Amino acid sequence: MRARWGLAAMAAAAVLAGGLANAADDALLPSGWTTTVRGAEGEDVVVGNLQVHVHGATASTRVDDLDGPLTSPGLFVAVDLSYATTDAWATPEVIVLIDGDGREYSDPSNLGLSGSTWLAGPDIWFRGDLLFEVPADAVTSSLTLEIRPETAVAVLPSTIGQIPLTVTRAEDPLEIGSDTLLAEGER
Amino acid sequence: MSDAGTITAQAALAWLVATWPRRLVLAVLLLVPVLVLALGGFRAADPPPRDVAAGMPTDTGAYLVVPHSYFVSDEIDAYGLEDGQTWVGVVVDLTNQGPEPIYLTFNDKTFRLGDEVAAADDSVYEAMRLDLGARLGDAQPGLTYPVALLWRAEAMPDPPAELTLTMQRTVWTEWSIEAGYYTWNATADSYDVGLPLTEAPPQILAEEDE
Amino acid sequence: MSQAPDPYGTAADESPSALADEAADAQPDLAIAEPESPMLTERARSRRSTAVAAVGLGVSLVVWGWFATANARDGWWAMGDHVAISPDADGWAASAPVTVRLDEVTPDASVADGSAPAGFSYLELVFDVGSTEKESTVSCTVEVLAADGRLFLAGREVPGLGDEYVSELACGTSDPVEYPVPERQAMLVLLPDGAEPVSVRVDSPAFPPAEFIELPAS
Repeated sequence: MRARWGLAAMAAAAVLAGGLANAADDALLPSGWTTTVRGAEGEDVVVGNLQVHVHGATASTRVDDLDGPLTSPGLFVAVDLSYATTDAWATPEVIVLIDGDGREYSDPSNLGLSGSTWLAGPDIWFRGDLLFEVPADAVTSSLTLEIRPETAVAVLPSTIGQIPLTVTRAEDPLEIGSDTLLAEGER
Repeated sequence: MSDAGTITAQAALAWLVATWPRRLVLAVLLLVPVLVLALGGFRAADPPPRDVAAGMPTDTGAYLVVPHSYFVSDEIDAYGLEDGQTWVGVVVDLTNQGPEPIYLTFNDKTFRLGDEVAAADDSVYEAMRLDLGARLGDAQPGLTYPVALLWRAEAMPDPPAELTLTMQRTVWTEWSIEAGYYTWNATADSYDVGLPLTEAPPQILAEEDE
Repeated sequence: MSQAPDPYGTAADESPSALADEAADAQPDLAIAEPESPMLTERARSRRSTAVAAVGLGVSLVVWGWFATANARDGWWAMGDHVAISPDADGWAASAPVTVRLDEVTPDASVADGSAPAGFSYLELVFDVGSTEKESTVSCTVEVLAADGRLFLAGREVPGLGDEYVSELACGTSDPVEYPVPERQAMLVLLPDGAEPVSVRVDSPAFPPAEFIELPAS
């Protein structure tokens, strides 16, 4: 009788362990290994190996191109920011906009404009604009800049940064330049 | 204890497996559903495609699509055409209804051309924005783009007056291998629309050498 | 007279008193008849075999883990910088197809095209380079390791590129007649104030996986 209780207990323990492992795998791994750093505009924010300083964002229906302004069916948003790394020269892998409904917007890089991420060095800061294109209703809700210096792999820890943006509406077309090196202490 | 001779489950089973011929028959009978399953016989039959008219907004899951027309041209400002090929383009208004940008020309499961055209690839080869005359790249959520979806096809000196575009319905599905990641997966439902032949949109034509 | 204890009893004498007598008779016999050693040996044997099984399980898990992670480990090894090639007594370090020597290190170098931005200086590095690669163009990246562990890329945000300075070392050529690998190549490194160079790392996709060249900066 004791042997049978022991067997039943072991079987139950095995089932329990399997169930727990499954639950952990489902729930924890994709999100539990990501640390989220929440920052604000106008201050240095450290996200993994990246140091970021966001100045602000501007939205307009038009962006300037060599041949004249381009008009979006929605809105172009230019995010003015500077960043450096902490350890070695690198380009952050992904920087996206997230709106109040949780929708994600990426770099419309096929327009042939600057406005994509650039290379920066350890404590060597560069300032530039990141260009996004969003539907008009996304800007009236809150827009957050989400920074993923390295694309997350589910089984390894990673860090992402979230910085809420204040967006200024402009009538003139946005001007997007290439990134420039900042002197020591400048942001 | 049951009376001797009563037909119990035990007795029936014992009778079934009593001799080798009976065992063989039992094994074959048990295998039949397994074989049918393996050969795919238990799938629900695909529902027939629904017909939609050109100009009708169609909810395909990933995209809200308003299909307009189609064209054939080898003068489009896009790369990848090989000798003996021409571009077959489909003009639609496209809105990404999902929560993340979709890189349309990678692994698209929505748009397919009918048999009237000998397409080199099943899926869209290039997507061009007609508002800016540039490649579409990522379709951002919630933005409505006028686009030309391009397929490479065998040269067609005499294109048909109407081309069938099939739009497969897709659903936002979590990966089975890795929780927390989602993708648009094709379902068995689809929509067929007949598109009239038109001229290629001038905004995406390659500029002639001067 | 006591018979050998018969646990099932006999039909002949099943009266309670007779059974009790048998039981009473049986006890002292049991006490003597069963020595302690067979029971203990059995338990000890069982414990030992459990221990062996547990150890066997552990070892097989480790072996399985070794094989299961083979791909991941190979990838980790190949992609990282793990093996530093040091220079010989004359200062030359080699990682096929390249041999390189750090000839001059000049901190705070002054440059014709203007001075470094506020808070920065230019470190000038002059290399002697040799290569056996004559069939394809190969480049080497150069990074300066600082005392605090930061790695600074040479040839970025520096003046004179295309003239006296290169942004990457030429480490192999596809046309040794028209474009031979220059024997002497100079680079500038943008350094923030306070960065103390410790060594110079030279790396290339043409090097064997995980290998890189490390030259002391002094």
